[in-house]
Amino acid sequence: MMKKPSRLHWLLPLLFALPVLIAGALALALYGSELYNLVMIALKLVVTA
Amino acid sequence: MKKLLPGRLAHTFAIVLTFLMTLTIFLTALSWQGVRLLTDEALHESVALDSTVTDTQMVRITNMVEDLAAEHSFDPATVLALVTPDAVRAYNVEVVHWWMGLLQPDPEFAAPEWDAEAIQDAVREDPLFQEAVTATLRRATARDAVAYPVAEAIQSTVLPIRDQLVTLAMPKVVEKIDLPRLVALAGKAPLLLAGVSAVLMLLVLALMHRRVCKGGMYVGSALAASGLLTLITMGVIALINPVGMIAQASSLLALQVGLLLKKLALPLGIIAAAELAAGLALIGVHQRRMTRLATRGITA
Repeated sequence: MMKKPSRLHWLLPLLFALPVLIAGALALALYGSELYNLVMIALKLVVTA
Repeated sequence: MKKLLPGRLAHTFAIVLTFLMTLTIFLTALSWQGVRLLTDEALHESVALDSTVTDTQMVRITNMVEDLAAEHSFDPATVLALVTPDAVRAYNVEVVHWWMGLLQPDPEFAAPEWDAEAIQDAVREDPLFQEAVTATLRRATARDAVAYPVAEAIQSTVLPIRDQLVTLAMPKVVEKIDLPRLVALAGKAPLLLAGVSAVLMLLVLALMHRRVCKGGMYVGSALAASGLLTLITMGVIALINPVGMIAQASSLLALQVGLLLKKLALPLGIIAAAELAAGLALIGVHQRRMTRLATRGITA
């Protein structure tokens, strides 16, 4: 007899998105503040008031 | 006769392909907006000509002209007759055309300048100015103290970046990098990624041909995952608040960038919502089909 499909199938999109989300979060955590500082310096150099 | 169903190996491959499909669909949507940012002059023009931008520019220019008029004794209306909202809008379009042209072959490196000579001539004819400034000094004062500062103020209001940096840096960049070719290649990226996504979709459906609703479930998962990733990316960008960061350097540039981001975010949000809805619908089809099969008691 075939079993009814699990409701966890609805969470499959989250499962496939998770590696990208984790990679993104790690990248932000590791390089976020450095990137922020670089952007602020670049803005001060390039932008007029 | 027992129906052959997709085995573990087919499911494993399908999972790997679905993950790749998630990435390619996600990058397709992002790259499409990225290409719009690089190549869609109409988009940049619509931001430059937005009434909030031009009104803010006119207020800043008018205040500046009035301050100069008080300092050098001339009627501000003399200068403001030349610096009309329509003229400022036309100048905005010129600057946008120059800016977008930097990525095209044979770009013009110097930003377009406002016609300072017309302002200089108008101020020299102003009766108040003629009373306050002696004849020998009128030309130099009208040029150096009024016309050039007004022209520079208009330029920095419309283009709030140090254009001298562009004039100095761009020739060196153009020497080393073939920018037009890069932009042309980047323009093909969304189509290429969409093509790869379609191929991956067909591969997954082919792997799951014995139970098509399973294939639909995997494709749906990729679509919904991509939609989710796009929405989360937009949310993270909103939280980072790049407009707030830019506002610390220039409120005008922040206004322009904010409008630009909104115009890019709207189609991206619609695509992401559509992907999410379509993906969940396909998963729903799988759930209903499998529930029906289970209820009918069909053996695997």
